[in-house]
Amino acid sequence: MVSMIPFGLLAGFAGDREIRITKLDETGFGFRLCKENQMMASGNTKAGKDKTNTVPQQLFRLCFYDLEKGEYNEVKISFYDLKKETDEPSEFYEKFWVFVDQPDYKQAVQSLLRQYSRYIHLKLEEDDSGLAKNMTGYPGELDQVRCKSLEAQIQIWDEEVQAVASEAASDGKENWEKLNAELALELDRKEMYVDYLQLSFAEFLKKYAENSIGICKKLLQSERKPERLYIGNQFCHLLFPEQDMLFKLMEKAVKEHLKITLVFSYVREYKLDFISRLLCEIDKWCRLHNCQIEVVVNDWGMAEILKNQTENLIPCLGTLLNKRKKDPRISYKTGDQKLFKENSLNAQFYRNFLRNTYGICRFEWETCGYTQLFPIGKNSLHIPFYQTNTSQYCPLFAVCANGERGRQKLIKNCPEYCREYVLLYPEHLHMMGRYNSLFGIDMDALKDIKVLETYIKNGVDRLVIGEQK
Amino acid sequence: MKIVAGLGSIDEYERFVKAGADEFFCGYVPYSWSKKYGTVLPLNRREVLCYNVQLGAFEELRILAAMIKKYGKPVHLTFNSLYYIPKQYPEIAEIIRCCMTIGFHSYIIADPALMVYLRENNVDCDLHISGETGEINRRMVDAVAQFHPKRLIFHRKNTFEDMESVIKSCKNKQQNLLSKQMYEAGKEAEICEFEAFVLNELCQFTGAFCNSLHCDEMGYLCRVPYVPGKKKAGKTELALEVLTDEIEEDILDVPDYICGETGCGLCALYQLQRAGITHLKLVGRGNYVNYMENDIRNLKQALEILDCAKNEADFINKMKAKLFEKGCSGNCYYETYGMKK
Repeated sequence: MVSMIPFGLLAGFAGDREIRITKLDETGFGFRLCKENQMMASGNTKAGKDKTNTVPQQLFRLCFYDLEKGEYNEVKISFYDLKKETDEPSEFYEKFWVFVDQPDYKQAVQSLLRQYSRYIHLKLEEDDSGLAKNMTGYPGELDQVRCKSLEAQIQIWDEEVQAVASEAASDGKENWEKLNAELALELDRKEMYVDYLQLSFAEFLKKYAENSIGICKKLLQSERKPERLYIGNQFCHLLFPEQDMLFKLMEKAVKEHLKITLVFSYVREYKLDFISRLLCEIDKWCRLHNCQIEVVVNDWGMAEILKNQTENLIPCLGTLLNKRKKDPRISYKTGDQKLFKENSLNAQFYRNFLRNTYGICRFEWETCGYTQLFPIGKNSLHIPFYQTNTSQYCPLFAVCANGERGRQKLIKNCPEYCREYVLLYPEHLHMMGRYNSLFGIDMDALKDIKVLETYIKNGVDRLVIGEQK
Repeated sequence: MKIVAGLGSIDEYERFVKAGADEFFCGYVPYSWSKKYGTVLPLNRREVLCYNVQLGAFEELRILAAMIKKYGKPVHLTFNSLYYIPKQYPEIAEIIRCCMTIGFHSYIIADPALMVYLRENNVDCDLHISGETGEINRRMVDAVAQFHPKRLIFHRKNTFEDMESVIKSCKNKQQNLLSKQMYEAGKEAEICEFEAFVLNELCQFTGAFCNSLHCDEMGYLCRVPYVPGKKKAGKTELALEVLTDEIEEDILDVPDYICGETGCGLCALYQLQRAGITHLKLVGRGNYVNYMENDIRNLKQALEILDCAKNEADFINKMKAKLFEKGCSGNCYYETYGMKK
């Protein structure tokens, strides 16, 4: 007899009432009903089989989750004997035991208990990698970090890309001509801000291309130049350029006929007034330059500020607010993978709300290893990174300063460990810990131009390249 | 401050009430949802099937409603996934309407689209803004005010100063026009309750920004082995040993109970109260029931000590002497107090 198997693994119905199966074995199962809603005075028992005209039909339905198939197996219990249980009475519910003699029921119970028992053993005896390997075929044996630096890892990934990138090996110009979308570059940390200010755009692009791999490298080496800069960081509140530097970057971009998208992260409470003032300054700058610029918003408070206090700043919904499941192991996830295609932005009512309330019509997406269904409208696709985890209390700082990633606190003056250090993950996962976040890198997007072509065909009107090295 | 404890099963309700819990939160995932979406698109952030972290079965909710009627300790239901897909919004609204018919009126929600949908479709439930919603600041509270929430749950990485500033701002706010239109006259217009995490399950990343898998068949992505390393090749100055402290954290051993072993904010109670926090979240749905019961008792005791304390130092000294005679976990929710092992 096994008690309290999780409802996710074993659901039940008495008629149309959803019930918890409190215990079961091959001979039957127990359940309970609220006293206030009693209705199980009699059932479709064997004893009462001939009296079906006079007793209510109570068809039981038990739903057994198959951990191997990732789906439910429903078993209908048409004939049974029902007994009210009187041990350990409760003032809130009454307990029943249902005797079942049905081969498909017995088989389902055996299968559930065998699988559940196996799962518990795996949880007890294996680490996470071993569990995933046994449950999904995930290559847990590869969960080891072998490289000593990100540079070494990217070298491996570059070789991996080159080995299969038949299209990427062709001429970059040719590639670009196939991609009917605006091209933008991310400048998301201080070294890049400095480089951009110090170098000519051609030199900057050359360096950017050298620090890229696969399709991104080819695109940046093509004749068509990026038309837009994304300045700032979506994930860390401390990587936005200093105010003086910001306006210098914007001035240079304007001179070089580049369009500007300013990228903000979440806004900590202590920075709210500063950001509010800064946005007003940027708005003023736009008035002086007679232009409008985009602002990537990753904070609902910032959306409010933009709505009320600025006229020339066009908000775009940032990655931290455009949620979806992202994980380098996602292809091993049990279940219907097609469900990952959509998210809340596919709902028209929500897009209407964002447009009408905040003037948000552009959404920032990331390529993340599976097909996404983009909504009608303006969709920017960031390649090749996708964010999986972010913490406002920097984990990298905690590792470097305190020796443990869990020893975190809010950093206001950052020594920028992220200039030198990263968190390295097993190579096969194609992920890394940069500044306060974890990122995956979509290798398919780097390997095959067709991936980007498909995205563009399906609604992406802008590609935003992030530097890889 | 009231204690809001996680509930993994209705069998825990009476025990936890007797231990001192004032309110509860729990998950309810109907079979129809699990059948269609499995854990690919979960209804709340407990994205598993193999654990008793959801109440399970509508009949259980009916029983729980009867318990609430007797004991008067409310239960809030969590529908706090970070997002849903279009066809799920009407389904959730229907589930909530059903739950409201038997007495469950408050819901913890993280997805702004769900907030929009519920209000646009006149689902008149009490709304608790989940700690998984996003960054919390004064203007974020302005943004969610249009959904007329009753409670704001601060996330795990808010400082006392953040909380105090936001709470003060809320208390000064005028009811906005939209909320007037959307809400019946006479109902509470402003956020009047503020909840903070205080025990268990301190995460290294932020719930609102955690998009990786939390499923039965795989561990958390943040617990995959990693090493700190340099960006550029060359001799690294940091130790490169795999940080096994997290990797080995599993259910292999059942350790002796240590209050707040996986996250503790008991020392912070004085500051939380000062900041204006009204409710304390004690997470741990699915934990060992005895441990949860002990957690509730300890938190209750700490609050009693707080009531009589002359000042913060007095509170911490007395609380530690009473509850942590052998030392604490050092796994502090609020960094102010350091991480003393």
